[in-house]
Amino acid sequence: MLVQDAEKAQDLSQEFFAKLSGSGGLLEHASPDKGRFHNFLKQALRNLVIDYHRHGRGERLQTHPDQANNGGWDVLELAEFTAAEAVFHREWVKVTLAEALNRVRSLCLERGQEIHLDLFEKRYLNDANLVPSWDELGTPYGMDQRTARERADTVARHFRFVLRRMLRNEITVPGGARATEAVIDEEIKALLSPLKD
Amino acid sequence: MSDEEISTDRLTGRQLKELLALASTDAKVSRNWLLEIGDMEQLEYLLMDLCRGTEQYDGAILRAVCSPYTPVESLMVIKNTAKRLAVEAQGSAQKAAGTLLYHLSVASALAHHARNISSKNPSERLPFYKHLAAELFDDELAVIFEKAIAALASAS
Repeated sequence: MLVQDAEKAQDLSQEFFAKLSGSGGLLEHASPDKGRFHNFLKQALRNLVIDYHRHGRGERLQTHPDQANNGGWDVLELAEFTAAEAVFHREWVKVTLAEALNRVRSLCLERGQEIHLDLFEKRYLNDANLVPSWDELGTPYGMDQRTARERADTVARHFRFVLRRMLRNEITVPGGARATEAVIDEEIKALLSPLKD
Repeated sequence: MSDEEISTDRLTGRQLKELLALASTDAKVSRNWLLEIGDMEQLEYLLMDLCRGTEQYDGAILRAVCSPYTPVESLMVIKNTAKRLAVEAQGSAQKAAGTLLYHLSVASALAHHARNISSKNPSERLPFYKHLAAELFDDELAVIFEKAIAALASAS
């Protein structure tokens, strides 16, 4: 998506991970003192894409934009990177949510809460555009809408707890203090606000 | 429900936002704060917060209330302290922490010593204990209520 070419994107991904993990690589420069790790990764990826374009490897930018646009590189880069950041952000949210959801699934299966989990998944992860009603969800299990909702709410509570704990572990608070609930809510807002329907 | 790992690849922006909103405590929905506590670590943190400025809290109370070796007399002291903390608490989460500690101390006395340290008939608490045993996120906390349920069942 960043370079609008699947093959080039694959090459760039390989280069990124090589730079990330190799000797003297990006991971060695990561430090909690410098801020959040995902911001560090985002910046590293952004730098790689800047590098990619500046070295003329992107066919779309082989013509110098100063010749065609009043704003030159700045205008092009701002638009490009805003879109790139939105894509990266969305992917980041997806990966984080998937990890939380899979932990919740394991927990529910351990506890014999398969029906609770099924109701939650059909309500929140269903492919359909139309969200099924609690009545519709409860009927196959012979449950009224209230019971169906309560069962799914149990899983929602597990999910809330798991995701908040994951975010708490990721957030670095000055002085090494534990991130408060308000700080975690701010982080959730920051994850939510750039997302488009 | 399939056995495969959950993938979020096909989720729409609306669904992603809905999931994130579920994790927020800002949402204007009523919450059962007792169940929202989650686990021992969170309960301990809330109890520490509750005791801030008034007394020291080093985690010993929570360990004691879960231990089968804590004498009934100590559980009674914890119960009274928890009751006071719950009454004095300002925030909903802190109040819930004090309340959960109270219920843990009463359940622990029933579970580990077959003693009722509350003025209330313990059988009246049975549905509530069943609810907590099933719904609490943390197994270490849930097991106290499970044992209390078993003790009540064997006594009746």
